[in-house]
Amino acid sequence: MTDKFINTTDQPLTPAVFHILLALADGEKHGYAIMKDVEAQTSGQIKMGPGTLYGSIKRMLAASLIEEAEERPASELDDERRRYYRITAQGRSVVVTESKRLARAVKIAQEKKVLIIAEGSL
Amino acid sequence: MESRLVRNSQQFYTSLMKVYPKEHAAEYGGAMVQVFTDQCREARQKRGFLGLSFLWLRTLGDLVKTTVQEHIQARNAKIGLPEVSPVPWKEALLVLIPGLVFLIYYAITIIWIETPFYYLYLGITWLIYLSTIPILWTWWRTKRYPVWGVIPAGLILFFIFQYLSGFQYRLKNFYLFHPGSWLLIPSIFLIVIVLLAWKYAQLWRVSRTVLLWSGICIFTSLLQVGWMVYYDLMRSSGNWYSLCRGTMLSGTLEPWAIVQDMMIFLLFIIITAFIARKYGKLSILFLLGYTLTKNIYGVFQGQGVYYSLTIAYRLLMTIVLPLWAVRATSERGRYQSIILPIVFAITAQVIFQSGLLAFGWFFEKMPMTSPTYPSLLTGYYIFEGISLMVGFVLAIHLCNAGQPSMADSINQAEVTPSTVKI
Repeated sequence: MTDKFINTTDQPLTPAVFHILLALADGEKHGYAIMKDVEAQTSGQIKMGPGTLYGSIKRMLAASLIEEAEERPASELDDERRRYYRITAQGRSVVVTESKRLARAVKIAQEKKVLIIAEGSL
Repeated sequence: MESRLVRNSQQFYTSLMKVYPKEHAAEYGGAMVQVFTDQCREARQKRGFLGLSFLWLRTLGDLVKTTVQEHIQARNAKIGLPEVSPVPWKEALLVLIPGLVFLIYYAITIIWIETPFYYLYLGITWLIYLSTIPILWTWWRTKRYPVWGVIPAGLILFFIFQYLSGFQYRLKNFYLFHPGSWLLIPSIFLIVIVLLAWKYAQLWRVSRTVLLWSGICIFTSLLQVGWMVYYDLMRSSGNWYSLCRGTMLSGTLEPWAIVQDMMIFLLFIIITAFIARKYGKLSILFLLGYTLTKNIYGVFQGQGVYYSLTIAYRLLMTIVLPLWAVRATSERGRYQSIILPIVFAITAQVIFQSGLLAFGWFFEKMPMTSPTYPSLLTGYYIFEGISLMVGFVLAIHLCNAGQPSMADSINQAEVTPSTVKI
């Protein structure tokens, strides 16, 4: 049972949740595609197992950050056990807020010369 | 054709799903196995047996960690402790508004007791109706029902029920269903309650705890009615005919109005349970929309010192309870936020009413058996307060018990997408 009144926009996100939201930002994906996208985003640093992935998905569904997509590829093209997810408006708002927070942190780190990013190094 | 290693890995991982809580495995087991199978295929393709071995090492670590997490969350959910985020302060302060409005209203009625306050009450009613506009606008804009709209929604429903309840008096004036016309609206409410209760029992498992608290709630409500029947009979010198006709005796509360009120309260409780199923446990605040109009008040024939004290304990219900409930960080905290203010308010009322009793007996030498003696109304307000508390406890258990059975959760996992819809 979800508490659909709750706003979670003022809490920092865990890395898993943040990267899952980023993965879904450009369209619906099923679980394995989300996992591969997160791995690609983080250059292999975050490798989620199925337990972590679906534990995060469960909590994100409860917080209405994502929702299960109603439409999915035809069964002859895809395995029926694949469940597709998409980001909600609230999820998009949350990931934008978190991205801005991280961007501010990066900017401060650069100003303090803690982080020096050479061109093309990322 | 699937490699035998991948097939065996898939089968073994499927058997490992049993270590997760049953509900979690039913909901996500299939998808987790699918993801793991995809990983096995990729690992086998890229690095062969070694890749698959490393994948198993990572997956077993993930399994151990997440199994513990899911079991802890499942246990917490069973005893009412799922993760809860407090409502942001902006929304929390908006939740206070109905309570503040009623607190000011009660303060004015206490201080200016001789002043007709009907128009003030009317003004508050219209204010509550107008609050529908920002609530609906916010709902449309954000696609989520705002938490600060829950109490006004309860208040609006209460005023609608009150209007419907007044309808039966218009029928009585036309001598339709006379002399039992007062039975009409309570009967309709009772039928609706029974139908909703039956629907609830069909959809969800009704625990013994729910049955127990339902019984206690009905008993305490009947105590209120019985007490006022006794009070009315004393006032009318045992005039049962007048009582059965539902004739209003001047200066008293009609016991049959109490019956009506009891029906409205029970209806509110069961509606709250259904709303909580869809919108979550903060829906318990819907019930506050009913109790704000009742609050816990007593006889005002006290002295000036009681005026400020009666406002003080109402603060518990109007401000402390809703603010605490929406800012709670755990389900246990929410439970406490509802129960503790009500318990304190009831205790305060008992103390104040006892003080009035003592004052009347020692200083004004009023006989306790006199029907004009405040002890009889005092008893009613004590019963009403207890009934309110029991009603809240019942509502909490109904909201907590509103979980689908295991068979339902499996069916939902296979068939019904968990799309959020309002």
